[in-house]
Amino acid sequence: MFDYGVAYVIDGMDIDRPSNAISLTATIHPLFGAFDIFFDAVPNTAPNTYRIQSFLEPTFAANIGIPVTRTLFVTDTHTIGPPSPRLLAVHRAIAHILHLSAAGNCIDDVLRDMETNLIRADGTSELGRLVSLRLGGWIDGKVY
Amino acid sequence: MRALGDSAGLQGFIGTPDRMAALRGVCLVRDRHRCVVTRRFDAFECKERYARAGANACDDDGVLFSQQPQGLQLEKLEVAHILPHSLMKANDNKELVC
Repeated sequence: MFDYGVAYVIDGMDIDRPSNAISLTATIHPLFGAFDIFFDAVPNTAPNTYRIQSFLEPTFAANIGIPVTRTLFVTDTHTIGPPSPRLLAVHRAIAHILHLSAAGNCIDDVLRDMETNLIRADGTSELGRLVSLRLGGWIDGKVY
Repeated sequence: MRALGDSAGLQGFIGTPDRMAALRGVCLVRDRHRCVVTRRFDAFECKERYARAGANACDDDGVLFSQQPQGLQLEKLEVAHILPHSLMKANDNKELVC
C-alpha cells in the first residue's frame, strides 16, 4: 500500500525528465495539475495501461472524455522513457488524499454540530447537509 | 538518436527555459503529438505539417489528417509534470516537505 522507496526516487531525480511528464491538452492539463484527474494502473494487461478517472462531476467529466482506458505510447526502441508508473501512482495517491481531506473537513463540521446540539430537522445543519449529500450519491466513496 | 531515457538524462541543457523546451519536444515525440487522455492532436504541429506537406500532411503513425478514423480533433497541447516542482523539495534530512 505504501511506496516506501519513492521518496528517494523523487528526491534524487531530475524533475524535468520524460518519466515525470505527459502531453495533455490545455483543458486537461490544469485538471491533472489540480489532482482532479488521476491514472489508475490496470493490472494483468499491456504495460503502461491506465484507467484515467476523476473526482469531477460525472456530466462534466463525460464531456471531456473521462473515464477512459488508455495504453500509453512508447517509442519503438525505448529511446524516450515512458511516464513513470510510480510517479503516476504517487500523483493518484495525492489526489485521493486531497479528496478525502475535503470530506474529512465536512465530517469534522458535522461532529462539531453534534457536540453543540445544533442538529436541525430542516437540514440546514451540517448533519442535514451530510445526509443529503450521501443520499445524493456524492460521498459514497464512488470514483466516477 | 541519443538516448533520452532516465539513464542518460538531459544534462546537456542549461537554464530552465531550455530544459523545458527540450522536455516538451521529447515528450511530444514520445506521445506522438497527442494528448495522453483525449488523444487530440497538437493544433500547432498540425498547422505546421499542412504548411509543409499540404494534403499529404499526416500524423505520427503516417495516417493522413484527412483520414483520421474519429475525425481530426485538434487542441493546443502542453507538457505537464506528473509531480510538480513544489512537491520535489527535500530538507537537509532528506524528508519531503511541501
